Amino acid sequence: MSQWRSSGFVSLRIENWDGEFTVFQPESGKTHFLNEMGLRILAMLDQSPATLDIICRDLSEHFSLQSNAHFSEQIARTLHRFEALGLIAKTNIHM
Amino acid sequence: MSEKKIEAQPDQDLIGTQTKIAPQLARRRLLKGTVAIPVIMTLHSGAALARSSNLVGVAESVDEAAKLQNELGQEQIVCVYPDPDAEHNHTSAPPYDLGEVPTVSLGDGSQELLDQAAICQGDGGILISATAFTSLEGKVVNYTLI
Repeated sequence: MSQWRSSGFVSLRIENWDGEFTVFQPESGKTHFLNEMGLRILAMLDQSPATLDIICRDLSEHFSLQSNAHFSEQIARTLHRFEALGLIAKTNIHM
Repeated sequence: MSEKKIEAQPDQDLIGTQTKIAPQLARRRLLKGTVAIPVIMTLHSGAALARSSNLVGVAESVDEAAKLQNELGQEQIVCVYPDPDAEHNHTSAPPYDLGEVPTVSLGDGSQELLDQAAICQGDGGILISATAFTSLEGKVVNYTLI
């Protein structure tokens, strides 16, 4: 089982543009544009590492959405995208 | 950039009495309106891209192509090679990325320019304009003969 944690969140320069967010990542020199849900994932993982299930549950509650398999797949894709960009990292949990 | 600057940008073009939504606003609505899924778009650093890529177009003819003269005064066609690892080249359409350290081959001056060009292209190379070649000066470290 694996969970996700933020990577270098404190170094990010985040600006809120009326519900849209620009996130400058000094490490890569890239600027990312995120919507509220995208940023919530990063902020949540900065608070504590979480599994995909926990992330989906939090998002569905916060945004009043129905969490189903399709939603879970989309979140998983986003997590992998964040990982590729170096914004988060995956860790394995030994149970 | 400040909130005021953002507000100062015209989101709508007024044409007569009709209001036309600018594409910029439409894009912003797409980003903001998509709350059901996380959205992430990444803008790559222009400076970083400029450091790591050398984008060039293709010379349309041998006449237009960059050439150098050898010690015998013979013209040698300049042949460059798209970087096979550059993401930009995956479309197989110009402009081509020559990579961080472009490789340049020079044609055999004893041959006709057309023949030199054919050998270059047969070897996976492309011809570039003299202007494009000038922009590569100082970056090219790898000169070879075809």
